[in-house]
Amino acid sequence: MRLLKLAAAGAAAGIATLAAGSGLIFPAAASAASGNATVTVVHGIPNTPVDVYANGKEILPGFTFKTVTQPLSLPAGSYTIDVRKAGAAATSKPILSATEQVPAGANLTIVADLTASGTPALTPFVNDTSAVGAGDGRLVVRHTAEAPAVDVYAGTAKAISGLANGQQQALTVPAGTVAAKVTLAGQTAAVIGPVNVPVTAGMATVVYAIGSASGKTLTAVTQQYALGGMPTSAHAGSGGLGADPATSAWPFGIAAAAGVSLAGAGLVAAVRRRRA
Amino acid sequence: MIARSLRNRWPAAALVAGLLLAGGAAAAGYAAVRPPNHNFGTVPPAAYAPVQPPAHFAGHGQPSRPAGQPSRPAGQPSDSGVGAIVSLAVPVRLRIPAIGVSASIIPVGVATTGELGIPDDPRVVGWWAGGAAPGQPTGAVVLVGHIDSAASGPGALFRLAGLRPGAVVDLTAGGRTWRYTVQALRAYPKANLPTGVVFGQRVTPRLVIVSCGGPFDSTTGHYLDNIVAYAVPVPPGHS
Repeated sequence: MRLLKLAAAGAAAGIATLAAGSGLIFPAAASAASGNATVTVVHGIPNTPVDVYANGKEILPGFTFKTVTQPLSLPAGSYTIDVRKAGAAATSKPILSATEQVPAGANLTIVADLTASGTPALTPFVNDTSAVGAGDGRLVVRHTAEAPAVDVYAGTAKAISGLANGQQQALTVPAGTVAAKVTLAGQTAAVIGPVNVPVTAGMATVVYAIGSASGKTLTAVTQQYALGGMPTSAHAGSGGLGADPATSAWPFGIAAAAGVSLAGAGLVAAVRRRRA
Repeated sequence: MIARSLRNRWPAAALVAGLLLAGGAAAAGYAAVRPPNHNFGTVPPAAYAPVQPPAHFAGHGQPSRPAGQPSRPAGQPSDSGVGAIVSLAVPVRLRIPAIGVSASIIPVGVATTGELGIPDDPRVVGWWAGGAAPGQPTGAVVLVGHIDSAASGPGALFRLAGLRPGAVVDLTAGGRTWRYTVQALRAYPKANLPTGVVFGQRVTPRLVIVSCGGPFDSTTGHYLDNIVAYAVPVPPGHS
């Protein structure tokens, strides 16, 4: 779902106001604790190096096509984002402008992208940080390219059908690597990929289709962010190689004095390795 | 008289000595199987360190803020200045020379069960991306790594329980190295993990490294304890 699409280029450019719906905000633990929000910026406009300003201050100089920033931590508040051609005077008229209310704990991504008809725009997305099951991750595909609706394949299976510019769709998938391929809707030839997309337990991996179909610059970039709230447990071992001797096993305990125990662990490890 | 007295008491003395010896042997035998101590040093205080107002601000009829409370309510921005926009330093490598660790890092998150994700590859360490990043003014940088895995043997943090206060930990993040000094090591039964202490973010900057250890339950395939190391940042120029 496109949340809001604003401010076209050139003569149509104007300052629009974005109000992120508070009901859509999923606080990230750390940022909520500090009163900050997290914002990631993606550049999806081909052949257009830009400088990005926030409230009049340059924050991303020389920002180029296919770049995804690290997460930016910033105090909650109102931010006016201005995008100017790289090197243009800070007082010059921006290519794109938007004003956004950023609540504490919000996790947003702002994409400088192209509409389906090829007009530059700033498109904000709220990143859904709700948790998925243990061992799973969330794969999100966002269509932010000048291109018709697309289908997305995970391996050979069609996972998403008819995703249009400005839309996104999310899938829950087991942690691992997904070979993702993007085709024009109803077709089989890849216009992007296949690309190997890492999916990590408890993380969202967002794939952005960016660029221009007519300009033959279609490509994909990815972003990852954390899902879930505060951890309540961690399981970080399954082999038993580093286990303490058990107090209850008295007769075995004496035999299991350090050296023997270590030797046993070594033997187990050797056997496991041979089996592997 | 004295000699006779000793002679008469000898069997009793021998018995006492024998009992003492037997007791000592038993104690020695117990010591051989008692779980090793995994608790060292002092965990940095969990409470967020408030910025205390200057003394001359006191006494204006306002109730004094209880110790350990944040200096401002949660969710209230301190200011909206863009000078405070900070690019997070995402950790990419962990080095702990004292226990031979040099591991790459990937971000991990939390499942619906509350379980912190962990990289599939036991040689790789996870950074909880919902927690703090190095260099942030508050919060805990939380790392999680395998002690081992049934499939592939020892993991990146196999020797975490051998870490002692004073050891150096280096995190590579955001194109530089962030140095920490270990303050404490703790073993917590998983059933009683103090999650607020381990994962809490309302704290002065710290690094928390979580793994497993203690006894192993072969029926569940889980260790019974979490081994947790706490470290604090070394200010630049002091390393």
